[in-house]
Amino acid sequence: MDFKKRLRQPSSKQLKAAVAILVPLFILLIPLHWIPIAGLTVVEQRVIAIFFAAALLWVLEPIPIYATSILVIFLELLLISDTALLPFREGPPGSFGELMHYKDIMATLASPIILLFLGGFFLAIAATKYGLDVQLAAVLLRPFGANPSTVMLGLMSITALFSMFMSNTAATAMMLSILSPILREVDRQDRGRAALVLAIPFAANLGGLGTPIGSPPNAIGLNYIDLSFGQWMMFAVPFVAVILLVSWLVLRRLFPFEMKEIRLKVPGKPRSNFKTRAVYITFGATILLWLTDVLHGINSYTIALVPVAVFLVLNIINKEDLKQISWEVLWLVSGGIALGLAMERTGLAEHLVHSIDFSGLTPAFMVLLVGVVALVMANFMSHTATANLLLLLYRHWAYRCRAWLNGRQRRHCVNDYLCLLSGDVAPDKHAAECAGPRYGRGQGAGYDQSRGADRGDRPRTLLPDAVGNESIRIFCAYLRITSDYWTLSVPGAQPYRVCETWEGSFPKCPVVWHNLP
Amino acid sequence: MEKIFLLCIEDQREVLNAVVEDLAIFEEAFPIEECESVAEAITVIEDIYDAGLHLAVVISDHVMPDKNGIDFLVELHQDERFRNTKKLLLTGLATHADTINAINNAAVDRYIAKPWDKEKLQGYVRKLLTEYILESGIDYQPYLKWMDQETLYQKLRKY
Repeated sequence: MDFKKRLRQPSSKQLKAAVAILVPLFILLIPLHWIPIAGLTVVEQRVIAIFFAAALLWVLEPIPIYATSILVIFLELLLISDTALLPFREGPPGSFGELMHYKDIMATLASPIILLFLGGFFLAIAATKYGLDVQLAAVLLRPFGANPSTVMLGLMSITALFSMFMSNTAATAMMLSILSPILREVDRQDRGRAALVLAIPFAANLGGLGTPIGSPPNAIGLNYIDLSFGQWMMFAVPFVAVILLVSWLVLRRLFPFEMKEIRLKVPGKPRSNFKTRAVYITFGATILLWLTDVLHGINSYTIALVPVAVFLVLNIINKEDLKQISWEVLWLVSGGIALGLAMERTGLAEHLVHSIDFSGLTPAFMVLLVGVVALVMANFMSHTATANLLLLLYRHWAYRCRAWLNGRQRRHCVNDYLCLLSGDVAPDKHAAECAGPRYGRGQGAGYDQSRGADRGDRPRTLLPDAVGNESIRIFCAYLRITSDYWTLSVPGAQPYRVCETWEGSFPKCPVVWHNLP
Repeated sequence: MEKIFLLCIEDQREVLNAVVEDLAIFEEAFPIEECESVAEAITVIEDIYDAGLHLAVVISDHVMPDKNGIDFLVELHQDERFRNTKKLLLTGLATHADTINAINNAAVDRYIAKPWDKEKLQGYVRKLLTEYILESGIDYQPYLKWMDQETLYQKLRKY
């Protein structure tokens, strides 16, 4: 029977898995002095091996990316923690290095950033369950009338708005379900169809930039850059708005509308029972609290537990709904945090920085280079895994560059720019001086706790410079984020793939895929 | 890509060929197993289960010499191992009582009367495949070409 024969088809997965196992194993087993990094310890060598394993598994994807993340945490526990296998706990005196505490590694699974995302998931699950997403879309779309071009702008803004709080894919699916009945009635020859369909994943991916919880790569960024919810939105939302407008113009130009008018019919009547109202109010209150943390002092991570607590207490989210939580996203992010933590704690980060000469690279060049690398990588692999890997490397690179600038006695604000580039590490005094008021608060997660303590000692304000510092900081954050997130308007990402179901219905689509920014 | 199977059970060879031909659009991604009796079908689904593969949709005739289709579907419904597997009954000869039995005890997902409409059969199989893939937590991205848009959007909307 040919059934058995079908089972024996060879798979490239095995080859990829072999590469991802053998290379790290090789790094683990070679003598320490073969690795050209000065002052390297045995524990750091193991971290390098884990890093290579993670990088290869994330890039080649022989296993799901979230599985790689969990593997990172598991390997760290087995190889570099104080509960490691017995033979791994001791080594040559002097060059062995220090083991990590196992609780710190496990804590990455419940780090503040993970809880922030959990809060976001609760908001999204409740909104979907009570149909808020579709109702709100209907209300918000009304002012955009029936002119196809304006309707497209409306669709884009609303998709972007939703995807700031939902996953990009869920926002795309939701809006396409509103759009698809109308598209069926539109003439197949009309190129405007392509514009309407593409507008949605474009907007969803862009909108994902808008808030820290908008999409998982943001979580990785947040791990390295100490920003509150409001501060993130302050620079990201205008950025999203501008790029959204540009995408709208590009789409209009590439796919001119022939249709004269388009009427969206949105299903469902708004419900006004107690629970629906509670969802609306909690949603609004949570966002308001996130934006006003300066006034009440509760940080974004704690506020994220507001929807979690309220929805569970009111039984708006029950145990069945809890099963919908995208654990894979949470764990994917945890793995990245754990990897960063291991590089930091074992001292590998510092050793890396001192062993490579970056003196010829200017910050502007770095931003550009990393942007291009991110753009290329994210075309082929997961955005979150890209952010994980690049930020791990980029951070140390930027850190070194800052030290170089320190040597040249550059102005503080330039220094501050690099603090942001490197994501507020800065154990050295010089950076602390310029770090300004925000760093005193110490909201960051995933850093060394001991460093959290000396944050309090830093000068709280540099009053004369405060205003200038703040604007420069925002501008720099802009640059930094844009460099990492250029990747977001690139095909190959999930929301675009969802759109591919349209491939059959309009043949121009594959061309579109490769011709658009 | 995971291996996801479709299974057709039909005792008349020419009818079986006709069904498989109508479903040929799925063949590239979803291998179709052809069975001429319930007994054969049972060995095939055991093989699929043993090999750890997926059985997405069973398309079954009702009146067959050895064992009738609805009884088989009732057994399949009670089998925990295939709880996500979708069941489509394709028959021209089911009585009123048979139909009631099929709905109540086999929880058939779709019922198509013979002679069938090709488009309709394809549409139903497309929907059922989509549901199976999303409910089983399989990565849906490689299968988008064969999936039903509406079902996909509805399911993906949930986080």
